[in-house]
Amino acid sequence: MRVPDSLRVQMMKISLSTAAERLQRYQLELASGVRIQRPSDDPAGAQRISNLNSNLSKITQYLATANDAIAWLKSEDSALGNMTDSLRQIRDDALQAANPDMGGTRETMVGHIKASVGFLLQSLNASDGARFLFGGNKTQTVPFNGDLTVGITYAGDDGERRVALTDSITLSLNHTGSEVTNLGGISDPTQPDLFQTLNDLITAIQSGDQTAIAVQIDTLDRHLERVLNIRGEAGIKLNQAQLAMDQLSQSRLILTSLLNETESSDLTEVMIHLKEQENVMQAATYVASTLGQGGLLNWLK
Amino acid sequence: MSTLSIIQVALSGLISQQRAIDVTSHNIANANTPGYHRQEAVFQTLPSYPQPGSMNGETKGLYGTGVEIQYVRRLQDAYVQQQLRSTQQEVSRWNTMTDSLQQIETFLSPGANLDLSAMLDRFFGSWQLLATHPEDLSSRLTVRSTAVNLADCLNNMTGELNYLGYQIQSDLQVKVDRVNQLADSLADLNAKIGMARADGNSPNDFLDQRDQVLRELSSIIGAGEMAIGDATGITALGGHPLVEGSQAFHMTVQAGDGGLQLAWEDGVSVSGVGGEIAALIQIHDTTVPQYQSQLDTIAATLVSSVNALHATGVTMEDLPAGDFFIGDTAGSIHIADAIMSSARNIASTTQADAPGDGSLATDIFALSKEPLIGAQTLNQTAQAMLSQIGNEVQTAKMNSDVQTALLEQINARDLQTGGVSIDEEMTNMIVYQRAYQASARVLAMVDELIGDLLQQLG
Repeated sequence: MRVPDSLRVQMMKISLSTAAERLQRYQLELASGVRIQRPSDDPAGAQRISNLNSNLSKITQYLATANDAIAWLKSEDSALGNMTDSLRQIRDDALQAANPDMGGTRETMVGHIKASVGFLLQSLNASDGARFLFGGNKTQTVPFNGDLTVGITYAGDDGERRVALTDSITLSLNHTGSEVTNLGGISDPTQPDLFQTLNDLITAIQSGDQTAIAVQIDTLDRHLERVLNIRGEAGIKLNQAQLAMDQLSQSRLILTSLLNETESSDLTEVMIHLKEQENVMQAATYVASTLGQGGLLNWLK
Repeated sequence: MSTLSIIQVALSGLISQQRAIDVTSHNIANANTPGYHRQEAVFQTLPSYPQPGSMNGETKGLYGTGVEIQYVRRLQDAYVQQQLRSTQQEVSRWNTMTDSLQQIETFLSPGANLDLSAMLDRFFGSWQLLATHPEDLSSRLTVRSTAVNLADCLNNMTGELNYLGYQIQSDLQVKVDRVNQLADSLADLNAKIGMARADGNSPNDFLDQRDQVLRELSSIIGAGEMAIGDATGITALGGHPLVEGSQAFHMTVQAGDGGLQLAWEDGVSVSGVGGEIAALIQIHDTTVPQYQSQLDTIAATLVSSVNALHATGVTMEDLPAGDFFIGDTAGSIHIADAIMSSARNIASTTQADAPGDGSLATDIFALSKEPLIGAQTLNQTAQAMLSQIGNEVQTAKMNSDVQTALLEQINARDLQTGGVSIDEEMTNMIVYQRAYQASARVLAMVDELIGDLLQQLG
């Protein structure tokens, strides 16, 4: 085979540029730590990465929602707890009023009960800082106004606050003020609303009607029971939200590690390749430097 | 044989060896000229003659009269040239494809978390945020800014695709101008070759130049359907002459509705186009519109589905919310003026007087999970686009690599036959130099011979 100078030079050029290109690829991969610089490096991998990123960003958003839901439910739980305490206090005072031997005048008891109703209203108007918990969708308006004597009005609505915790789980977070106080018999049509019961109770105590007091205490128990039930429901939802958050955190962990696996290079492997290519490059440049040595021209005078 | 005729023989040796040294030095001088093929002086004996006065039928052998250079041979393989041309056109075509596709790839995938898919994620994610905090202005501001980013992203991609289209048009004009120039050079070379041949010469250097011109023509416009005639024949493209003998035919670019078209000056459209020009036309007429239409579909679907829901909602002031996006293509999509002037006009609910209701925002978020385009979600469509361009670039690159490797091999074969080897030329030079010296010695000897004769007689 004839090997003219131009052929040797051309082959050398090709070898040098191939070696330089490979070296550059490994250098870039090692420096960036990323295996796929462009979709064409691995189209299927690039799509998987995009998909994983998309899922991650969705999960991050879901996590924020779950966090918010948990904060809301905790506020609701504590407000409902306070309500339960107030109702229990009212019940105790009513029992005491029903039994005159236990001391305390009826007026004192009515005074106590009215104070407890004040606390009760405060709990019903509780907020999580920015939103009223029991106003339905009217989260920016104080839900309950007035007092027992002038009458208490509900400014909220029956709106549900639905949030998506995951792709499949949607939770109705809130309980409306009407649900909690059985306004318009919304929770139990056979029962009067809480404020009616409280008014009736106070009237009964003021008139000293023992049987009426007993009847109202009985009704009050139903109210207490309902609030406890609602608190239980909120507790279940809190559990659900917490569980969802745990699962989301878990998924995020898995997705992140999958993403790392798909996206990142195996540093050891790249390092070995890089070293290999460095040697090839060195050898190629050495060979290039010997081109033109030892030709016939060197021997002719 | 006369003494004086020895002088003639020696002289023919001197002249021929000198010519051979000429050829050698021409080779050395052109060792690095692209497309040059080494040349070789072909020696031939001069006609011999019988001894004067010999009888008929009495053969005493013929006397030689010396040497001449019959012709100068160009060491080249026509088949390799043809392979070079057809491979060169493939290399150029796939290189051009790769370049353009990589440009598209770069702006479709500008970097991690900056592509359309990520923008869609963020946009829909912001609606989920609004669903969680429907009473906040800040979540509406987030929705607005992610929407602006998304619209900008679609606008930019369209702008880049349009720009690529313009760039290709101007590139094509440059390439066609070059083809016309090359056709002129080819016609010119044909004329020179014809003239040289008429004088009985072998126009080696013109032939090398002609091969170079043909190779560049193949690279730009393709050799698949190019019929390469000889210097007096027709070089044709798709059945229409490009160069006929010493006459060149020009072509022009015409941008019509059906895409870019090339036409001969007589109005016939150019067919059988390959090489760089074929790649440019394919990118301009097929690839760019295809990605544009995918972007447009995503934009139009986004606008119509988001607007359909948003228009049923109410603003924070409980007024009808109207459209969220305006426009129906990726180039024209933007946020409605009302929303740009105040984010309070973004609806999260369909009910008046219900600031805590985020159900509409939840519904708009849910659009991200619905198969709105065929069986795919918006995001999946965007991701598929990314993997499509990735695959296209990969294929083009692979073809380009394969063809380049092939071209290198054929090139090596061409060099093996026609490349200049300095060692070889030096060796030849020594041989010719020595032969020249020997002829000169013969001449000196004859001179001495005649001198002796004259002295003896004088």
